[in-house]
Amino acid sequence: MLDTLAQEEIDIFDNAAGTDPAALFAAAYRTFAGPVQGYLKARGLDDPEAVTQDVFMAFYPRIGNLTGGLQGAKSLIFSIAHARMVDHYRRLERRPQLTPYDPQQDGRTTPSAEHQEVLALRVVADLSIEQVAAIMGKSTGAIKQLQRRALQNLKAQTLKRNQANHE
Amino acid sequence: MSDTAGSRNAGAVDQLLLEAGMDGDGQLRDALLDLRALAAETPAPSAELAALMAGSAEAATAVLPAVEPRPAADLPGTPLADELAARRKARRRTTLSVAASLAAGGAVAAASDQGFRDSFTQLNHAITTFVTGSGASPAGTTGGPAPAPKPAAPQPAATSSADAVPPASAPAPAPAAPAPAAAAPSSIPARAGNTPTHGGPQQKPAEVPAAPSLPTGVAEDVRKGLEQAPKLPVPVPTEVPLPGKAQDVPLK
Repeated sequence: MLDTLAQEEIDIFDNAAGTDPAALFAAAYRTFAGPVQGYLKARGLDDPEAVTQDVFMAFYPRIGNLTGGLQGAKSLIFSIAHARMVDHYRRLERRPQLTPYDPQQDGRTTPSAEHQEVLALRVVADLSIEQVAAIMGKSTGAIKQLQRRALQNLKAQTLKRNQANHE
Repeated sequence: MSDTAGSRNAGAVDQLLLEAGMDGDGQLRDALLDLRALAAETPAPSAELAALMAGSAEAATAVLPAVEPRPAADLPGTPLADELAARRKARRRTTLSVAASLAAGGAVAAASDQGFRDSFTQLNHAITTFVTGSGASPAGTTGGPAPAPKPAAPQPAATSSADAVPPASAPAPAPAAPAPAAAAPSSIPARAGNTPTHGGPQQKPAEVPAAPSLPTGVAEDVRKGLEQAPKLPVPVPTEVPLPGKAQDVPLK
């Protein structure tokens, strides 16, 4: 992701204190709106676009205290997105299940929520292991272990799916 | 996205696979690339976000009040005091208006109550005379005794009338009342005075003597009890209404 960013946008994030908040916000949106929406979509939120807007609305008041340049903004934005995702699933837990049974969505066969979260943050959000560890509140070793198991689980699922398609 | 984006995505996915020690797995790599493709689409900013991105000054003025309403509420110190004073004034006004309305309502209620009494004095006296059994008095006592006993015991009268008949259906039994009242008065003249004050409790004893044929079949104990029961209140009530009736009866 970084290599495709314009150098001036990287500079904006590096000099966040001295730049116009609107310009900084616009650069942040251009850079991270797509990954945020993809992350929320990968985590199965009902309306990822609306939640993406909410994430950036929550990000805007915190621009003034932004530190860490581009990576700092990225961590902050995905922290907000992660919190929104957690809120969504908490609300979902309190709501009765109204959908018919779907084997693809069965929690006993699908990868755990942590596996999905690690893959979404690492692959879709393009975060480093340290950033994922900070957002999920775990150690980097635990994240490495989680992503390894998540990949193994995903591989088993894709194999099953391919076999089912061939049959 | 261009080829460079594809190669970049592939590079990130390859790095992840390498970290997990699963590099070279084609199927997994394709699955991860599909997953990563979710991030390719950038949503159009909403109107609020576009306003925030548009310009610093106008965006701040346009959006900040909506986003942060606290400063607007916290900033003015004197307006708060004004608001408090206005609220206090409003409270005084409301209390005053409530008191005035209560007083007016009380007056209206009293007037209506009086009207109600006036309009239904005949009914009340029909009932009381039916209870007491004094047949000659109802016509004559309409003016006098009604105000006299009621200040002493307005609630019993209300309850008795409520127990006996509702005002709407009252006129129906009223004509029926004189008939038993005419039969009863001679037999129980002494009770005539006590009923107005004990309207509620006295009705039952009055109803019992209204059917004097029953006591023959009733046990003597019960009859004695029924006769004794009214005897107890007799002395007390007779003192109160008698002056009123004593004045009215000779007048008319």
